[in-house]
Amino acid sequence: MMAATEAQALGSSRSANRIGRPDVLSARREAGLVRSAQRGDAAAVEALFAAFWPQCHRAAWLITRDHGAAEDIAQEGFLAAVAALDRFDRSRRLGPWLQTIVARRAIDHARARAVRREIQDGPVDGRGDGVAAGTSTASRPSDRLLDALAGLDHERRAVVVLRHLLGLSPRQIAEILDVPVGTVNSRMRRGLDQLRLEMEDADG
Amino acid sequence: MDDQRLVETLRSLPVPDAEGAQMRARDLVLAAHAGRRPAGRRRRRGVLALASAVIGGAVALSATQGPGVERWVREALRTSVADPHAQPAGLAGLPGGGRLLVSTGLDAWVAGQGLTRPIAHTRGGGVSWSAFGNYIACGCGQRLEAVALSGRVVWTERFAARVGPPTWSPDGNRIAFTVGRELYVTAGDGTGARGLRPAPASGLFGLAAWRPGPGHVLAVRDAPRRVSLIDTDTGRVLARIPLESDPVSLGWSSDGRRLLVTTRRTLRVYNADSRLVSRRQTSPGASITVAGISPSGHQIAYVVRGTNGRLETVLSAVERPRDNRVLLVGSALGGLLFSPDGRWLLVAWNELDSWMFFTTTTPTRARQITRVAAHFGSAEAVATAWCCVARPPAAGGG
Repeated sequence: MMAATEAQALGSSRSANRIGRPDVLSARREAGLVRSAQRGDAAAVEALFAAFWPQCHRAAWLITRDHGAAEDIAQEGFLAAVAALDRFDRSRRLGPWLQTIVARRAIDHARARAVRREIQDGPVDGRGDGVAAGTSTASRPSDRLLDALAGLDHERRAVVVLRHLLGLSPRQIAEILDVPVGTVNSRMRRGLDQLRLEMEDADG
Repeated sequence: MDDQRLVETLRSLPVPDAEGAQMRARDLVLAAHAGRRPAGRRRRRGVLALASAVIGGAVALSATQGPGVERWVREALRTSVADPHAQPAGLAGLPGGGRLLVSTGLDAWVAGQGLTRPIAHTRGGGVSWSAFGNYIACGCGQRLEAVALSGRVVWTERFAARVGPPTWSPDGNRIAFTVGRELYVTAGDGTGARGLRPAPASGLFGLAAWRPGPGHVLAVRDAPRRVSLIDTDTGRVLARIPLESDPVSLGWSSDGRRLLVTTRRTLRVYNADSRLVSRRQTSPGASITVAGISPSGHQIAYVVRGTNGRLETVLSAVERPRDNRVLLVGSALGGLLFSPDGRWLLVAWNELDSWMFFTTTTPTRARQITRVAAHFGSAEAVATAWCCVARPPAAGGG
């Protein structure tokens, strides 16, 4: 996919730590691209987009479980970032900023969908095949994990995704969710316990 | 599953339509980046453009109005041009916030809150915001569509004849539109469409307005020289309002307590019981081209064409008929819209290819967005609706 190849060409250095932030650009390379983008360089914007879109889109999808909404949310997040590009402080990292924008919107979406329906929700894709949560017959680990994630309530699911996909710390997650760090830790523990139980059930 | 396996699995799960989504977003992001200008330059150009436009307006106003108007123009000039906190003129941040729905004839665009982009190819069909501005309804040929701001079509319903301009209810649960010459209502998810009654109007644009509040009550021109209030859930007619001529527009205050019914010669404001609260009539020979009521229901704005052919935009208090402010005079004034919070009024100043934004409080201040046609790639761009200052948190969920 374009993102992977461009990220590699730009000197991708995915971290190998256990739940580390998956850096796709070195800090120096990222700062250079942001500076060029602020000056109007479209190639720099494209490179930044290619580096950060896949993960933001993935996070939005895992949190919302709705690929149409995830596309909208990630798009809006990136467009908001472009609109605020001139004001962006280059001493900060762009990736976490973008991830935070998208994660907040995805969580807001998940929360709002629970209480308000402007239009009837379309099919929500746990796996996209209509298998209901908790009734998994999937055989691949990835399918079983998706089913198990679908069974989590959106608050626990968000914590697991922010921690294990985006590599955010409990403190950062607490800021995004606007809850105490202790709440993040308890949601994480319960979410992971529930995931393990459902995965074990599926394994028989 | 340990943490490491969980991390690896989450990072490798196949996301549905990932490549398609990435390509669509890439194009939009690059277009948005290409469309932006460095902030410093944008601000200077905005202030200069505003100065020239307000001076133009001053000339137009002072040529036709008395000393009171000249004084107001001087105040507006001083306030607007010298204001060090003036927002840069541009579509990214509209005065009053929120987003505009803009029709160019062929396409529907969304503008504001950092976005300016086409979202639907309407081919001349009408469009309407959903309740929270996260979708639009589009009457596109023989289809009624709900489209997300990304351009994704959320649902489509086909009909046997051309679908007229839709209007989405404030609670998001109903959409009214015409099919051929019949009035239809459907649920907000596009299901359960049913004909309600014959609709003599060829379309409903401006001629059907949902009453905010409980239930699904539609004010609609359902017969020549008549507006009816219809409970669309039961089909019961709640009130009939006879008029001396056909209405040109209908509009509710945001609390559903006031209804503005505009004809070529009159502006009538009714309360929730359909009792007349206020009535204005133009001078002989003059005619009203467009009108709107503020969200609070306490102000109305209208464009009136005088006997000399000149157009005036007037802001007026409903309870104080003598409290009129002429905001703009010109030969080509288009539509007008109140901002969702009612603090700004947009007036299309077509002869200067501009949108003027006036505060609805005193002293009046003005902002301008220039080169409207260039923003939308069309000289036919018309702002049709203004939505949602307090946008709910969901980005795509309603």
